[in-house]
Amino acid sequence: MELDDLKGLIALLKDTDITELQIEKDGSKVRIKREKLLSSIEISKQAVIQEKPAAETSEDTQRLVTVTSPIVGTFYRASSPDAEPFVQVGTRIKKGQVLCIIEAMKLMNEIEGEAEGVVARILVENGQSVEYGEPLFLIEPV
Amino acid sequence: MDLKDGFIGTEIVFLESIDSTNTFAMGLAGKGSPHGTVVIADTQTKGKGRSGRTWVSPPKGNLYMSIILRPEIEPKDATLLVIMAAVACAIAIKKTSGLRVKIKWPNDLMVSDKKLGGILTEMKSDFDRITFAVIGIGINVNMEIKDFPQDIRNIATSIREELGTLPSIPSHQGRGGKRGSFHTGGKPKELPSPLVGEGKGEGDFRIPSRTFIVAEILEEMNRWYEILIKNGREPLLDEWRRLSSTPGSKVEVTVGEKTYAGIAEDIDDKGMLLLRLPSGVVEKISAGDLTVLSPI
Repeated sequence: MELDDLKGLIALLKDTDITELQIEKDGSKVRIKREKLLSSIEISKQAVIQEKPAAETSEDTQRLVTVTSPIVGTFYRASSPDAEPFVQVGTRIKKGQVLCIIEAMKLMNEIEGEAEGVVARILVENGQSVEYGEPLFLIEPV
Repeated sequence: MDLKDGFIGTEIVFLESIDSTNTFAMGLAGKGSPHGTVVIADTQTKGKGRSGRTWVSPPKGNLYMSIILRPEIEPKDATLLVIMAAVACAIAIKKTSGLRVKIKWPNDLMVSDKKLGGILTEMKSDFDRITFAVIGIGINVNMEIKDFPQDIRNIATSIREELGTLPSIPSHQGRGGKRGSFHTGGKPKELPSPLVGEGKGEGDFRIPSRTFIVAEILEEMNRWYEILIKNGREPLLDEWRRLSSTPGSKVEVTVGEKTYAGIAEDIDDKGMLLLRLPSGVVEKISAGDLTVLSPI
């Protein structure tokens, strides 16, 4: 099987729900396996679409990584009511940089970014309650 | 869940004056200080309270300490550390002073409906992992009413104030538990001199020394941390329920700009407050300021 045949096969599978394909021909054997993508990118795409259907094209959101809340609590963008927010839209962040605080029961949880990137969107308002797993930020990786 | 090596209190850093023991401990933890490191200061210049408030922290007589933990629990269960700290402190104060300390949700330490101590926990995590947590504890030990700012005099108290209102008792009975050597995973330690040998006056030993209180807090903290890691959350939650005056009380909770009034029914498996509203609906409260309207 030629390389071009393989490329063609992969391209063909891309738009389908098929996750595994095995072909045996003339003594050679090819097995293509695609992981079903349930990554944060897909989840972020859904969240954005639910919120603002026409706001962004899927091409824009595809690259974005979602930061989700690890606990139930109250979302704060700054360390105290009169302090500057940790980040704004457009802030370039480093891995481990504090993005926000989620408070639960006098526990102030500083949420750290898991990758380097730029803050593309902030999805919750300061002082708003958030659920476990709720999307907080969209980060454009760099 | 694994029990990390090392006990809480194996390393103790004592500072005469610092902005905030929590801020200092967060810095230490960020540089890699191990699980169980304790920071104690004689005075704080910017003691921290909730949402930017300050914790009044004059020198010579109160307790300001922060404990670094690197717990092997998930961030979503981290509020159990808040429950643990409240339980450990309430038991320790009771043992050392004999005062009937009650916990007000989530972790205020109350004596006769006034605040004797507070706990503020700070933590760093991503979605899956706690990087570290710092439990900050402030206990008013020797402070007198006149030392408190005017606006909190009606709602705050100290061990000295509370014991002063009790009828005089012989000194050797008032101390509650055993005396202050404490085991911190190795040899017993004694804190530097500013913390030792306090009393209300000559020959009066009713007010426990801060060293003694610290020793008991660390002992209880180790005990309850081990119970949490080995036996799960239920024994800890039950102990909190036993020590708290909140469940069953009529309360008001301010969450941001909203205020809810209702009956505090119970806490859930993470320690969050279950509040029954007049409509019958049970609202789960994760954060807010709680006022008890009428106790049980």
